[in-house]
Amino acid sequence: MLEAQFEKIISGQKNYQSANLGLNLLITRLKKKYELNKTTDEMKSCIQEMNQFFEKYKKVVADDIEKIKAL
Amino acid sequence: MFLSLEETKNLIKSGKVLHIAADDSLLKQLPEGKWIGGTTPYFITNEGGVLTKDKLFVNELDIAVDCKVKVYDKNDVLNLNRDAYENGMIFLLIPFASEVAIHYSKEAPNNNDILMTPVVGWITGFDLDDENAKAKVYDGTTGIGYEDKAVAMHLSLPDDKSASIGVVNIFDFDKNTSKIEFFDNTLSVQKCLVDGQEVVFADYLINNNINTKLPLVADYNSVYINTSIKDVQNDNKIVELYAPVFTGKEYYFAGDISDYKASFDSALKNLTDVKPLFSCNCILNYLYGELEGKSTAPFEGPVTFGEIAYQLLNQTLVYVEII
Repeated sequence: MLEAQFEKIISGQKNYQSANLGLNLLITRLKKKYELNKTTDEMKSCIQEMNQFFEKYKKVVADDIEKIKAL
Repeated sequence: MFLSLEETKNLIKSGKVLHIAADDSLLKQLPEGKWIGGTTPYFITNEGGVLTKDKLFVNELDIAVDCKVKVYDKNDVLNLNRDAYENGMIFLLIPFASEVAIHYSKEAPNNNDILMTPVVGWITGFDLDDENAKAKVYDGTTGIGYEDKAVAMHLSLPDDKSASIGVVNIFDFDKNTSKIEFFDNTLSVQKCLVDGQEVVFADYLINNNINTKLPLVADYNSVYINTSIKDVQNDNKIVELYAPVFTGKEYYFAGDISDYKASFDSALKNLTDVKPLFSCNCILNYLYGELEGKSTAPFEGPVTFGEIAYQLLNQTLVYVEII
């Protein structure tokens, strides 16, 4: 559901700053990972990591989900 | 809370789950139980910073519904998430300058799993005036202390609770100042780029009178992460760091801090409602900021040789709260 927004954040088309330290560190790492290998497969892998994080912390990142939807 | 040896022993014997920071002379007297410990004689209490080898700083981790202690070395410390509870958090203590500390500091930021469970902790230290002192960590379930291994306490949290890690960084930087970039992920720098020009980093620091008490700061998606200068060796032109710098990141030197205490007060004024389960502050803040006798309420805890908030940090206050 958020994958299109995740792609924009990871590719740098949109900026998103969370109040969650773990999410900010994850976004930083995935941006760098994608910057080094701008391929569709790499983006899929990055989005998968974002999905895993959001699935695990869906309660903690509820506020982030709403804000990212609105990007 | 700041306790005597006997009070701490009684808490352990009562079966409490504990994180303990104290001088090694005290930690090695503790009975086996559900605790982990790290060495430091420096603390920030509700009455301010203090150096003591007579008391222990103890965090009761009553929130845990289950816990387990694991010991890791360089080869498996990045796998600590494999031992994590499904809804949990990890306290991680690592001895200063150990191989496992260096490995964790360099590799954790690039690790795919490290962000999947909140990891908070600190680099253990020693009395800087004691030439023979060593940083150690303790697995309280066995009573064994280690100079070369990390110890972690995995906590299982209630289903309706989560751990949230916060970082208080009093440093800021101006992006109009020189941009510094590094060629490697490293703790020892010889050459780097300053505004795109290759320079010998030690020469740059000396020739430009850079105040090396101030950290390098990098922006991690709005979170400012510091890297502190440990030593500038003019003879072999090496700059040693307390935490690694990373290739691909842009660094800037922090702006000067004229009054540490006022800077902390300003940074903490919006955090007065935080109820930290644990917090720690850097020895460099303690020393450079002359925090002895000065409180950083509501945050109290060990003064450390490095802070862990998923990855190794420098010159910050790190805390975790349960929400």
